[in-house]
Amino acid sequence: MNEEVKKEIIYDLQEALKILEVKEAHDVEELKVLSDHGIEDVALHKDLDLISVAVLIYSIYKVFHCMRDEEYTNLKSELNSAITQLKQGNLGRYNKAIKTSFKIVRQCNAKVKEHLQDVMDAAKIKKGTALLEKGLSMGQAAGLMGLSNWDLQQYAGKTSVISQHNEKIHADKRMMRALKVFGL
Amino acid sequence: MTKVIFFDAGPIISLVMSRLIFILPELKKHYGGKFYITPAVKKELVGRPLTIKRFRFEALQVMRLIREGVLEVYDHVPQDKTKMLIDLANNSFKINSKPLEVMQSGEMESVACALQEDAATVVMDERTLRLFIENNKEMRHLLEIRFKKKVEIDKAKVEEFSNLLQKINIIRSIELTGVAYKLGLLDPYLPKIKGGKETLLDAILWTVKFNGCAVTEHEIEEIKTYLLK
Repeated sequence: MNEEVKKEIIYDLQEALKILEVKEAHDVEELKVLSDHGIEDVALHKDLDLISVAVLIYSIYKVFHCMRDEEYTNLKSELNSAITQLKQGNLGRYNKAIKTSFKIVRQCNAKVKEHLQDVMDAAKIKKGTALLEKGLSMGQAAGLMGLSNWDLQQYAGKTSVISQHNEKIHADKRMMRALKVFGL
Repeated sequence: MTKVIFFDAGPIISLVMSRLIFILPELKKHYGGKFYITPAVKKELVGRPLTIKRFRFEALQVMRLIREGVLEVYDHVPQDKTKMLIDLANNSFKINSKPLEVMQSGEMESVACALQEDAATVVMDERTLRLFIENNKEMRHLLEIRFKKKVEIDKAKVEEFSNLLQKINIIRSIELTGVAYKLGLLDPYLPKIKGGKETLLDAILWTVKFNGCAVTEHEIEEIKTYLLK
């Protein structure tokens, strides 16, 4: 793991932990903002560990409201462990702590199914859409999130992220060109 | 010389999801040439969705098009050219001196094949590559706004990329739908009400947009006005 990525991950996890330290009503919004910040790093570094942390934070945001106290405490402990292990360069133990964090989220997920989709899948789609918004291509954004283009296109088409730009070629001119291609 | 059009994955996905894929065989008959997809596009259209329950039937619809020869797989992908183009694209913009890799090589295949075949037309719904080819200034602007950071641009690379691809004519699934409308392929859906044509056009153009074609609301209005003339 390169140093820059390591620094970003430690920052994101520490911020997440700060938010989770005391359970408060505005935590949910803060987690969402943090996960949006994480996605910028993903777009810049295209790093799998960063992707995994961005998805984890977004997933925590989604299941936060129905986490039991025990799950909440365990999650904080795992995030803490992930930070410590990463700082010490114990990547194996870091990965284990992240994996356990995902497991805790997955347990809560059973209670908050999103349109029959796993929270984690939903988080990947959401974060993939955020990458599209940053200007990455459909294939690049889907690929980074481990999604198919079908998943991402289906979702992104219903948002405004792929239609907020200025086209150089006017639509009527492009339509004219298309008709010409087909001899009309 | 046989006329050819290369298709990216996006427009086929948009048409399948919009339940408009039936227009493709008819469009091909009218075109009188070949409709090609590259192996990477085939993988995204068939291989990948076959493994996902939610999209398995969509994959079967594309498989049928391939089996019936409506879409043909182009096997002579110029790997060197694809690599050269992707290197140019992914090293054209930098943030904090780090190259911003905005595209995947699979997405560049269709364009590289079109150049090799001297084919003028590529059907592509993808916004990023289209902006890169047609309007790289807007691409930089988009990146700066979205990242809220200064984007360094390698002018030489951007110009080389644009020059190489300037002959490529890009159309989207929404224009294909417009062509199908003009050919009367959608007439069975024409409602017998006042303003029926406008209703039909609205319905088909918006469904393609909602299924992933990168088109703005303003463009839809322009296309509609043009087709209703």
